[in-house]
Amino acid sequence: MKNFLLRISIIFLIIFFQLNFLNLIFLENRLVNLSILAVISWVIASGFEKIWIWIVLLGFLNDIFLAQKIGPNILFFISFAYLISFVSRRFIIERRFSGFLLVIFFILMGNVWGSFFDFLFSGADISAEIVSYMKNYFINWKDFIGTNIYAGICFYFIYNLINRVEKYIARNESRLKMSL
Amino acid sequence: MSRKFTSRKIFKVVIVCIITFLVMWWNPYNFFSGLRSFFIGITLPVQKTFASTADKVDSFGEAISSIGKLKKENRNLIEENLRLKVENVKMADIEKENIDLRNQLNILPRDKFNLESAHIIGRDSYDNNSWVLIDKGQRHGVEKGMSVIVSEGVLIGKIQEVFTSSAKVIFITDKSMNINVEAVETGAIGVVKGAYGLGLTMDLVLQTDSLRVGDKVITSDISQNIPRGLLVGEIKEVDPAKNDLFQKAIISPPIDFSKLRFVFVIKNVNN
Repeated sequence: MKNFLLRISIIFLIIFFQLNFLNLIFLENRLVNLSILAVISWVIASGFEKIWIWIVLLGFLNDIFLAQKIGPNILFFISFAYLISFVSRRFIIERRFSGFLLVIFFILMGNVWGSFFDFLFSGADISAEIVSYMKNYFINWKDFIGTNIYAGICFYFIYNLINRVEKYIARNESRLKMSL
Repeated sequence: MSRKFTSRKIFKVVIVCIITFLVMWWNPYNFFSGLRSFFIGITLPVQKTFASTADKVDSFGEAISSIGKLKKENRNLIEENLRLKVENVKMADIEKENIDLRNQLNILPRDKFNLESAHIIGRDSYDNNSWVLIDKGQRHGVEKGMSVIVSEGVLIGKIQEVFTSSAKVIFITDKSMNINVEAVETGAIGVVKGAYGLGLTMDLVLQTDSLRVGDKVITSDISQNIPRGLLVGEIKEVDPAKNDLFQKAIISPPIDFSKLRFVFVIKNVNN
């Protein structure tokens, strides 16, 4: 129960901090998506197998609070989490430098993929507008770089928070197993 | 020996994707609307607290960054104040004249809107010019499709979804929006569409109509649920597209959508 409350609190905190705080002060289209950073942190800290159901819940609650169709964020987060897990198994994430590069790659990929999913489910005429969408996305290259730098800074804090909580949960679970 | 497919990660991903696709295909909006209203309703105080903290942080940041400019700005404001006082006296006289003329010609007063002021408490995560969440909903008489303005006449969007105490406003710069408009000076009519956060484009303007850079663009009579005469923007660039059936123009909105804090919902128009 305690573990459940801890994880659900993180999810709500991330969503409210994103929707009602960060998006209101991070202006000029340099928006950082904390949920993407949370997915990366969770998969790195605990692994896909342990955390996938929470990622589905994070996607579901994102769709609820963003007042949009239920589904796009679930699809995006679960597929993104799988990809992170798939890629990080083939590279050694524990090594400081390669781990750092990999995290940067995940953040970049998460932002691009997230925006693409948002476009895909926005009801736009995909075949007619995909080219202008992609062109416009990369025209704002300063915003793109700015967003990813902000995201890197935010990732440090999110990862620390999630890593600590996950370690605490792991300790609790191992204590419970030993007492049984 | 390879593991069973059902115990693999990819199996879980596939199952989640199938279920999600079924949910999306079966009922994208209504099935979860009760749950959504419940969640948004019970967490509204928390959301408002976060939003007001964001406002304070933002105001503090702006105050810090503008300390150097304040002295110069103050001097300019004093000068402007004097000029406006003189102008105000002239305007009062003109207004009196206007009322007299309208009475003589039996013309009704200009449209007056019944407005509901609202505070922005949430914003889209992917595109700052797409939508916002406001702290007024069904309880305050807000309904789907109502127009949302700022400064008593600048159209910024429409209500897309309403909850008990909050509502989602979709901006005119969103790619899904189409608004019937006309150019003030030339009377050219067309449709304004969002252009992926890069502003607005005026499309479907007949080749026989004339478009001029700098001309103001307002909502036309044809716009459903949108009162006529709301300012949409100014023509920045004209694309005559001689080989096409219609001309196009790039419209620059008069306000920065990412800096909005308060908006007004037009509940109805009182003639």
